[in-house]
Amino acid sequence: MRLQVQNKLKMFFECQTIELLCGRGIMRFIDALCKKSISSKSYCIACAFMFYGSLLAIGLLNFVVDPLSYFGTKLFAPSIQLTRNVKADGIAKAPPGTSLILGSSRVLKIEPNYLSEVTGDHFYNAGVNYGKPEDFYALLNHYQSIHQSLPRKVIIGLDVVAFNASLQVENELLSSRTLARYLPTHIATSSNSPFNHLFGLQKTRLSLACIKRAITGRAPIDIQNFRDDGVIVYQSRESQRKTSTYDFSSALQSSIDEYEHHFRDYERICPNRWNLFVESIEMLRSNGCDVVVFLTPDHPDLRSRLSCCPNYNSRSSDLHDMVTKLSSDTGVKYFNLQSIDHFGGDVTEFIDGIHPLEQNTRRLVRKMLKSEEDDDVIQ
Amino acid sequence: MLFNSYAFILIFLPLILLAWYGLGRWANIRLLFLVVGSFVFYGWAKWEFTILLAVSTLIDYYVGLRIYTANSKRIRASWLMISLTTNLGLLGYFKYCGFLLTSYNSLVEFLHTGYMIYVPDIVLPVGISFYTFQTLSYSIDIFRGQVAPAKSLLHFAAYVSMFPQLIAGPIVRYQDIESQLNSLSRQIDWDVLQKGVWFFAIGMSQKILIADSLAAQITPLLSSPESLQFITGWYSLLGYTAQLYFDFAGYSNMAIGLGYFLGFHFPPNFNSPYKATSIQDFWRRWHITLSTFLRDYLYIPLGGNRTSKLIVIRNLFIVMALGGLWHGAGWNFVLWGVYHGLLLAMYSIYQCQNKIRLPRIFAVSVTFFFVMLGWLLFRSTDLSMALQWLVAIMGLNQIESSALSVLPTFAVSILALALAICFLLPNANECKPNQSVATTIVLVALLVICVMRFDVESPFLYFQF
Repeated sequence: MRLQVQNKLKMFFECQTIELLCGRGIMRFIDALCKKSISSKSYCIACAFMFYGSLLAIGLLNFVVDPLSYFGTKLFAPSIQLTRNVKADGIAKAPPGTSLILGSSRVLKIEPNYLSEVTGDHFYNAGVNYGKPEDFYALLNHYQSIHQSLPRKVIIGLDVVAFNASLQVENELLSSRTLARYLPTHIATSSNSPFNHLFGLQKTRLSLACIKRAITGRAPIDIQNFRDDGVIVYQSRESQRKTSTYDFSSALQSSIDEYEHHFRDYERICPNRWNLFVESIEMLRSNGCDVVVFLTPDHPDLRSRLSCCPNYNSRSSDLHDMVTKLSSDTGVKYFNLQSIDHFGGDVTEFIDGIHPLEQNTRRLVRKMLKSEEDDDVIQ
Repeated sequence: MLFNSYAFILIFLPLILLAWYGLGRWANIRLLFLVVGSFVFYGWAKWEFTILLAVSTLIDYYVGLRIYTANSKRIRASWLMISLTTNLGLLGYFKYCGFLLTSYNSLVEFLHTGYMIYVPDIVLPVGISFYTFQTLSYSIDIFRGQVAPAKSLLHFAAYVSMFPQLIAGPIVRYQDIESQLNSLSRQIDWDVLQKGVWFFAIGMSQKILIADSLAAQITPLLSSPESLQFITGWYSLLGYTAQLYFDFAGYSNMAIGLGYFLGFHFPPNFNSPYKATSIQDFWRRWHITLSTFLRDYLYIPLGGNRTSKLIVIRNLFIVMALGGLWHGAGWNFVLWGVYHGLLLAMYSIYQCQNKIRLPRIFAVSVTFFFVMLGWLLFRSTDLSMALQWLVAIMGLNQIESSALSVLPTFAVSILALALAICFLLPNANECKPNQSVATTIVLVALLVICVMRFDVESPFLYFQF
């Protein structure tokens, strides 16, 4: 009897296994799900529970993982390096009266030590990736909030592309609780709301990526190293340059592709961003700060490729005219250093099409400071 | 407040529903809660707008009572005039004042004579076109003896301000909802609630998953119309045609779904308009509540079909031009309305002279083509953009080598999916999904994905009207 039962059970499970392997079990399961009708009441209650339950689970996941360090749970490493938070911390730690370098990643090789040697002032490089006027505004306000004063001197590297309205405010800035609070309301959009960080699709993807990296033990892909003075260290790329194994052509081509895309729909200088930039300048000047503004240089090959794009020449010219006028209205020193000829730059001292290395940034500084000493604005 | 916002889904809607069914025994308190909640919903972005809504509600309630109790037709007509003047006056000031003054100034500049007038910067209150038409229909229906005044100001305020349909329709007539307002069910009707889940989920998916995905592809193309070429021109046109439908139909379905959540049945607003076999059929399927409003309150009083052919054509032009103007304060909207008037007039003449029934596919294709051309006018910000777009679709501004060389695969796929849904699948009203576990899971999954996509701001296209 027992043997019979055992044999029957064995046959039953074998059949089920075969069916599952053949997919019939799954098909039957799906068939049962589709055909089994439930009452309207069960349907509605099930929908409500499943819906809000799923959202609760997603919210918990994003809160615990906190991929952009919005909630401060710090249980997982953030999914991307939050350069803005790094620079905000750097500003907070800098002694009062520290002068600032502001701009995008293109200013990240301007050395505060070199500036200190030349000017005698203490500098901190507060450049941030894809830095735009809203970043400068937030960082300056943060500086003022921490030190109850503004920097003695500010050097701002302006990218022409930073005034393209189709480039969104960086998520990193909106997610930074330290800096986002300073943003004007028309910029601090609802995308920075806690709900967004709890339930947003992008944030959920980042959370899952954080968990995956935590499980596999891999570091975030785009981690960058900064020195204490804010200068970036291109670890792998600089060591490849030293050993002459760096593929500069590919890096240059990436810059070309990126900037051709940026300038394709760049029809006019964004008025909101320009107004915010002017507001920052006026805030600095009204507090007696020395301000030097320069247009950041492009690699000659990049310039020659972009010069075929009408928007590149038009927007560069527009920004140059606007900053020139601002300079004469506010007393700000201005230098158009888009071409390396304007500062005696070295074509080999770029890491790609847009990021100058130390030799070129020193030349930039010498050009600006030499002109500053002689009170002679270079165009 | 938007339906596709976290505040609505996570806070407002659960609170409203809990209170609505929790206060089951007390009908008046439920209605009061609904009115207050609706005003909060409306005033969420700008509280000043609620004053206009309140004023319009009070005036039309009072006027409705006076019309009903008036002894003579002359007095009734006078009170109706007050309602018309107030509602159209509000609409005229907030929506058309700037447009009219700008047009006048352009004319003065063109003719080099007369004085320019200062154009004030007037903010258009969201939904004003919808709720003014709604309150107008109430006054007119009382005047015509088709409906009695609302039981109380509370009932009327609930009708006007009900949040599901307040901002972008459907335009609900008081007679559609009177009996429902007067006899609120104490019990939860789970069958109706289940319908609400269906419509809300489908509407949300239409808006977030399809309309917004299309918008992401075509908005950059249309931001520089001079760069449009043949394929990108046609893609933008087809894409906008689909986007507008899914955006507006999605909102309407959500509104209907929310109405069901509260136990109210709203009239359908779309019935697969792109399957229309004629332009007349199209207007029976697109924005149904608006077209029936225009028919009942404008076209028929002008004489409708019961006059000479010339007068019918005149009526069609007037109604469609005003219908176009209702959509937006701009000459492109007027032109779009006149264009549809012309199509309707031509169809009316064709109908008289031809009794041949065209093959369905041919009729649908031709109708769709002409409707799509109309959307070109509708979407263009000015005439020069319309001309540039037209030049592009005619192939006069270069023809690209292939679609996939200029458009990402996703862009082509989402458009193909959208058009397949428009032409091949039944709409939300026609579908009767089974109440299975699988359907539940699918609908909830769709809703959750949509909610997660709220991290990108996406207002509804029809909010600008």
